[in-house]
Amino acid sequence: MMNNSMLKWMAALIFALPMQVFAEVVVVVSMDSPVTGLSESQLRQLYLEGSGRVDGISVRALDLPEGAKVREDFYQKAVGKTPAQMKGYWARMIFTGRGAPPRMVSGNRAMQVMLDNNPEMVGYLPANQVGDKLKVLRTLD
Amino acid sequence: MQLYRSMFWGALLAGSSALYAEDPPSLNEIEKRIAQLEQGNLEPQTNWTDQISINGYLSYGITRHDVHQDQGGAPPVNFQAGQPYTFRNRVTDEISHRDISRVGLQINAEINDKTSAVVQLLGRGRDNYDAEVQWAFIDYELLEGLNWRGGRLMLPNSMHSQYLNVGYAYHWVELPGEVYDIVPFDTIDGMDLTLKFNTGSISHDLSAVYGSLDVPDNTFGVPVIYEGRDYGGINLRSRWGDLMTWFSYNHARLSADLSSLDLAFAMLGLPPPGFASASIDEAVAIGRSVGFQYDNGSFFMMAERADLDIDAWYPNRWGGYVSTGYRIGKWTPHVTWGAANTHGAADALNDGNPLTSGLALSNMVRGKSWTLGVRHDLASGIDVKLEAKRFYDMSNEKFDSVGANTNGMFSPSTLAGEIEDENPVVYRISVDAVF
Repeated sequence: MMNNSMLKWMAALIFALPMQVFAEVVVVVSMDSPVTGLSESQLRQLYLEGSGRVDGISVRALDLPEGAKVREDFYQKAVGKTPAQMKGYWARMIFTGRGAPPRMVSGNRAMQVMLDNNPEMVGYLPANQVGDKLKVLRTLD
Repeated sequence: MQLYRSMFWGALLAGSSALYAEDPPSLNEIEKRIAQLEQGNLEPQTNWTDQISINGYLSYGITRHDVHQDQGGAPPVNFQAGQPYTFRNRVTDEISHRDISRVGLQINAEINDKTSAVVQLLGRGRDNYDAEVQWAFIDYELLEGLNWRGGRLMLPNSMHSQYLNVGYAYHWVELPGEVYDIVPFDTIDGMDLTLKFNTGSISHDLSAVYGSLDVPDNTFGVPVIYEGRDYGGINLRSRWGDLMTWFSYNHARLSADLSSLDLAFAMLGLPPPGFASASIDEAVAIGRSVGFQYDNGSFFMMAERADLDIDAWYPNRWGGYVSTGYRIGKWTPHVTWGAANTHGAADALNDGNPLTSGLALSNMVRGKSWTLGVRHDLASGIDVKLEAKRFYDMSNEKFDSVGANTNGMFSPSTLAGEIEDENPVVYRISVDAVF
């Protein structure tokens, strides 16, 4: 009986572990980027405006595709908004000429390539997909 | 060097496919990316699509009301006698596919780091989709957080005014008429200045607007131009987490020469009623609105009140609403209570001019309403919505002006007679998309 429940716990742990790793989202830029840090409010503002300045440096935000779980997690943690709220928010911003949403890339690898090639861009990735070409500015968990 | 770099990335991309199984690339995709890298197409400085973007919105809607009664009266008092009652001058008890359908197309061009240009065209079904310019401006960043825009802008009269045609941006099929019908103009030719700043964790957009407007009206078959001069206003939108608040104050001088309406009567062989005496000459108009919105992602609530006072025979009017809803997956049921009332036309009612007092009485609007609706998000960027708006308390003795219109936002009772149904309902269905 005891063994049985321990087995169940272990099974649960095995399933839970990769999910926890997956849930950790990091904000990244190219190793060549002059940006060295990003505060919580700077990150929120950047993703609510699509582009902006961080310590006087012009930066542009990049997004993962709509429907990507990492994107959903990122917005919940960084901006505190659901995908539906963000879609409505951008409809209001775009059509009042107040801004353009972050440019969308096709996936994690495209995010890596874009960031590495464009030091003025800021993006986010699952923590286990950063690679050695990018540097982590913030960890969201 | 470029080729070497591309090959390196190609190898890395190919390798990564095995590691990240949730996002497998195809060989074609990798080849495309390598080609793009070789041509430098991923560099934003050389890609024109980074400078120009095209967006649009489209709403296809159907609407009708349930007042199956024809208007009374007779010409020349009511030229629509014998025809169905209208809601907001347009909707009848017959299904309309045009009245609330509309399409908008917007082009944004980034000219340089500080300057951009935006043009937005709107075609309304009820205008046979003839395009009109809603936005056309140059945006220049004067300082970090301070932007100047000049050209044609949408008026910031109320909380949702500047995106009132973008159906996808709100949960109703149409914004509550109690507030959004008060000011009959939606664009201004002029400029605005917007300052973004933060106080602690609250972010603010403080905006000032200045300009003029000329709105041609052809309601009676002859052109009348409503002129707004020295249109100046200030508004503040503040966001704190899930809460947003809105304040606005606008001021203008309004003029309208109505003598052409007398000519129209003369051409019909009818005695001119003396519309010239009701012309508006630089009347001071003041608009105010206050609103808030709370949205935590599933539950939302918003409320707003707007006032318009015009120093002429046009009665002062206010309107407001409270709306709440809950997102359950892709479904958002919502309920809204609204109210509108008019007052302050005493001067026009007592000036001994039967025409101005008649205009004042027929432009009085009183009524309350309940709107029940549901929004269903079909996919990201497209929704389908339906709602029913039921009016009440339009025609009771509480109205403070004897002889005033008691049909609310329907054809005025002063011209068409009273609607027998005390609780008329307006139905609306729409499909909205943004792209």
